[in-house]
Amino acid sequence: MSRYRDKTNMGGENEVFRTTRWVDIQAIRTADEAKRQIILNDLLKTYWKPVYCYLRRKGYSNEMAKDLTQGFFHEIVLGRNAMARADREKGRFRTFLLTALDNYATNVYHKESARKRRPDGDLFRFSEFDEGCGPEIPAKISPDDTFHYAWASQLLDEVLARVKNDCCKTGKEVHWNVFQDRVVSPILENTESLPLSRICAKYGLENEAKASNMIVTVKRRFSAVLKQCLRQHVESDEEVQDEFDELLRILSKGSAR
Amino acid sequence: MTRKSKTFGLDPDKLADLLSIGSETDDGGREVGADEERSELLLDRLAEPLLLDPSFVKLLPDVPHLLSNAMELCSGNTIEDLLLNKDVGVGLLKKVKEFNNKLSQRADSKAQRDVAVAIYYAAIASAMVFHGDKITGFECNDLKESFEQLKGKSWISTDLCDLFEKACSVCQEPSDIPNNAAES
Repeated sequence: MSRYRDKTNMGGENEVFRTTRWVDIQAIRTADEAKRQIILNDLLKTYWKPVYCYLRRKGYSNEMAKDLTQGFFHEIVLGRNAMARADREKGRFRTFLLTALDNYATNVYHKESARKRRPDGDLFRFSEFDEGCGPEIPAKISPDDTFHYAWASQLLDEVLARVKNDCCKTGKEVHWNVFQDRVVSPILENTESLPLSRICAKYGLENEAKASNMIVTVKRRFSAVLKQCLRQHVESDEEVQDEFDELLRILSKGSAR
Repeated sequence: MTRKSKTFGLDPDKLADLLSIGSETDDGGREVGADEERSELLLDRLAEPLLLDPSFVKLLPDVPHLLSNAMELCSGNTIEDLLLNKDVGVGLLKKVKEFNNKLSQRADSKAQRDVAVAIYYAAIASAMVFHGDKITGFECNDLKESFEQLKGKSWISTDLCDLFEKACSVCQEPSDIPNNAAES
């Protein structure tokens, strides 16, 4: 698989504006409460859904999984400074979190026990997971892979939204629509890709080469945004490819690739 | 409001297909134009989140409800969010300006320099538009000229164009703007 081309490597190691998940964890170790809260809020936003999905796949009921998710973040992430003990030498942050979650869930046996151990007030709303609402994770995925699946799904949602937004901000709405019709919608809806000739007719494009160029432009933007998003979760540009490969490996299990 | 997921519930191999879009680097030999390169660089820079550098945290207010608002603003927000949000303090905008001033001086390419300069001026524009503060030693006439040049560039995003447009209007009434510049 090809390596990403790094076109945005500005600033070097001391660049103020770049962060990674392990850098965040390092920062949690400081006594600065304001900084700690900001980092923790971001962690909650990113990981609550993969945590909940993992617990459901482990076999916990909807209500128990919700309570355990709330309890895990209250007790482990916010409460016991487990994040401060996290060690970047031991691999991916997601792996660390999954291990901590597994240990937590194993130690909490009863619904009442989980609910009693946390303060009043929920950190998250689970409305999209209420019974009968919204899609479910395919049953064939293992609990561990469910965690990564939910994380990858959030990542891709973010990438797609950002790329669309970037296209709109730069006067490339038609580029986005062509890309969506030709590349994204067939995957999301499991349909055949719209022929370029029909795309040209639909959007008034002069020829198929123009449509192809538009698609290439948006794919390049997709690649750059995906890389930026992955980069926040690893220690170096080199690790981005490894992270990508690992996610692809997990998601491709069970299919011939 | 939480955005509804487009991908949750898909078969894993479909997620893999989406992910694989990001590895398709064959651009058919098509070269990237200078403006397109700047446009993408600018989008990348504006999308970067604010790192909790100690110098930024020092700028957070002490009053609890203001601190809470500021924390909400910083948490997960991008440079672009900060430039276009009227609730962001002038202190943070000064930091964005100073940082991009340094970036422009050590940029590896003209494109990187041009983008850093654009964000530098966007921070100045934001302070003028949302706070009526001039955080630079440049005169209003010179600033207006710079803003007009930038908003005429095809690679500047529409939101920044609007910001520069508004800043040009503010420059028309320079007597209303206090000068809070420590340096240019």
